[in-house]
Amino acid sequence: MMNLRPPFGGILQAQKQRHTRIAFVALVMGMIQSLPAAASDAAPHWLEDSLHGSAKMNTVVAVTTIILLGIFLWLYLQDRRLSRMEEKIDQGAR
Amino acid sequence: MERNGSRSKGRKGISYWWWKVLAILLLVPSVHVALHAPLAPALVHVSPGRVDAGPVTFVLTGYNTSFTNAYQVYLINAGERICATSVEALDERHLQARFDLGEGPRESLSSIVVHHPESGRLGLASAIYHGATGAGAEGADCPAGPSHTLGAGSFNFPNRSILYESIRNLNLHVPMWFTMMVLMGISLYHSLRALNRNDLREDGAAAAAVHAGLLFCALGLVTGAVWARATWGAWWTNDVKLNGAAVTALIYLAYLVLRGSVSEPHRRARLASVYNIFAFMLLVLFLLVLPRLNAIDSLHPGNGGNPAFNQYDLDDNLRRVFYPATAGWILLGIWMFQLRRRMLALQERVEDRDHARRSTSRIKGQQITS
Repeated sequence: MMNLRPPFGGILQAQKQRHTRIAFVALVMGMIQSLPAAASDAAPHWLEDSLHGSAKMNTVVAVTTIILLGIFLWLYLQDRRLSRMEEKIDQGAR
Repeated sequence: MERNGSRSKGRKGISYWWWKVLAILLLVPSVHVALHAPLAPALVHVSPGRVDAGPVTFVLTGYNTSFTNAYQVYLINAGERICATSVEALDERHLQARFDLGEGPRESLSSIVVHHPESGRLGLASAIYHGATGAGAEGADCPAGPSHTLGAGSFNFPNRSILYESIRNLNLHVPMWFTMMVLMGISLYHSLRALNRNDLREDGAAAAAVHAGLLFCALGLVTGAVWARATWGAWWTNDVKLNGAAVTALIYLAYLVLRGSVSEPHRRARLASVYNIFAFMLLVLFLLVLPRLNAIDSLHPGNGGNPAFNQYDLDDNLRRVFYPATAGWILLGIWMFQLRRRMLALQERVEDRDHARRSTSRIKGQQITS
């Protein structure tokens, strides 16, 4: 069995697949959840107030924050992957 | 850009860095201006909105205005001007205007115009409903004011009702999609090369581009949902462009799942590359072709029959920020894709080395035992 392992490495491969699957399921869940939200549009008051606040400038702040958080999350994931590679190289050197 | 930087030794030259520096030089000022440029002055509210005959007092609310007592106000009703008998600036954003409507104007809807003899004018169409209509009001001969809009000369973003400050999101949300499309195009290029040359590294590059592209796709979806909530009143609508974007996201997620599910590298590269060709065709169809068909209505500007970026959709000042911002985001996306690609390539090299080492040690072991 060990010889059949692809050169990409079985553990990393499995982890990558798991992340992709989690992202996939999260997106589908999000879309399903959003369907009733689009149908009945009873917004909580605090949300309306905060998004529409300062002549809708708060929406821009929210969008900017999301973009920054998204890029930071991506950086974190790459960082973690690099750390795993570094560990692997260290193990190989021994 | 195609040069693999990890191969060259020592410090990187200008050809390695220039476009990354350009990304920063484009992004930092354009984001700064996108967040900082003022919105054009506008008249946003008139109170009361419904009046009857006789003397009435309106309070006009402006946005980014600097009202003084020099401002004049008139109503437009049935093509004639009804002038305010007195105008008083309460503060920079509020004007109080008194009118004598007599028995009432001729039509039931009036527009209101504020103007300064030099600075310009602002209007609010159909702002007032008249409960009583009559023969028209007296004193219909006041100056119409300058023809240009207030704040037309200075650098500002258009002040549209419903959007208001959120018009700045154009420079943040839309470049996400442009970057995503460019990255998916790069991915297609590498997939075609992978098929053409039977090269596993090209397949890895294609996957890296899809990975970075999906980040921008996710950012586009989430920022779009927030903007939609503030503008259209729902996180998600059945807009063609929204559904097309969601389907495209799922198609590319499926690409990663497909790539992850085949363990034999050459088989994986072939399958993924062929799938990627279809995926990109569907992207073009769902994001660029389908939303523009005449038969389909879309909430997105520039869709439902109109080409995007015509003179009605995009203001010149917005354009001056939007194009550099988009170029900057695209370069940043390519940078991220290159980092990912080089990292995966490095990982592959390390694993190949380990694999080779393991097999040589196994062969040695066999030789010893035999």
